[in-house]
Amino acid sequence: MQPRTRLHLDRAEQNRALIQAWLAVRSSEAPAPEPGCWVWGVVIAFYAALHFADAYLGEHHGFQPRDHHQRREALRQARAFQTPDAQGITPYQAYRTLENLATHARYAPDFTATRDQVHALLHGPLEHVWQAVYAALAASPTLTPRYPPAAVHPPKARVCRVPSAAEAP
Amino acid sequence: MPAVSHVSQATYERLARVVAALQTPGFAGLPQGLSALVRRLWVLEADGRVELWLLTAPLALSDEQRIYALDAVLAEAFPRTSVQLQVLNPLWYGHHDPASSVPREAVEVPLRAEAYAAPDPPPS
Repeated sequence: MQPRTRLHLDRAEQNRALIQAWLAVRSSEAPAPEPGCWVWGVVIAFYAALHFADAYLGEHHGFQPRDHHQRREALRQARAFQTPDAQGITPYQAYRTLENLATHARYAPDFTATRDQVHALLHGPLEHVWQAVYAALAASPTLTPRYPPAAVHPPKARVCRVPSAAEAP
Repeated sequence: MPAVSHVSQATYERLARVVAALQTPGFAGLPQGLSALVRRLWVLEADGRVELWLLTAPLALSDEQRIYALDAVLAEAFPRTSVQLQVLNPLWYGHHDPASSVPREAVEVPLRAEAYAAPDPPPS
């Protein structure tokens, strides 16, 4: 495996682990993330998928996309992203769903997301991309990531707290 | 053919293929195609790029993913144009109206393929 592929996988796993850590937070340990944080969870899920995709494109096709359009086109034509699952959905469609939602999460102030929706993205489209890439790289999805979730667990405080009016600058 | 401001004739004709695909039974793995899942469509053409903004019915994640089967149709219909599909699923907008995210310059176009049919030629 090329060193850059490994770096993309590491970054993807870090992002995935961050979402897992947010989802794992229980009120007995620390206050749950603020509702607005789940919008950012959508963005993180997409960037995990993006790094999985770039790992695949670099390793299998020697291609480093310069922008989202190039990446989209490369993935649309990539064999590993065209194989449908039991529901008839391809990894490409899963990737595009994450990309589209992340765009609106970043720019639309009325976009919303809940914990359950982020959980569904993690175990739906993101897992679909993750499995496709690891299968293509002939690596096991159970490969121990260099950065396990415990390494990025949030401290026992709000991981994304909206400051009160008194704290605001 | 109906006149659409701010959208070139060539783009409008290509959109007809996209809308026809939406209505094709079996498309995207759905017996009735995607037509039951979509509500409104806008197009924005600027700087040599085309954006389609598609407002859907409130969709479960599995159906939301099916919408992107349209990307292959778009790539065929617009082979030399950068084209991007933006999907607006109300489930991600709470009580807000997702249509408010559509750029003001975008033009709403019909979701019925028949609306794109050329009119009968004038009598000679």
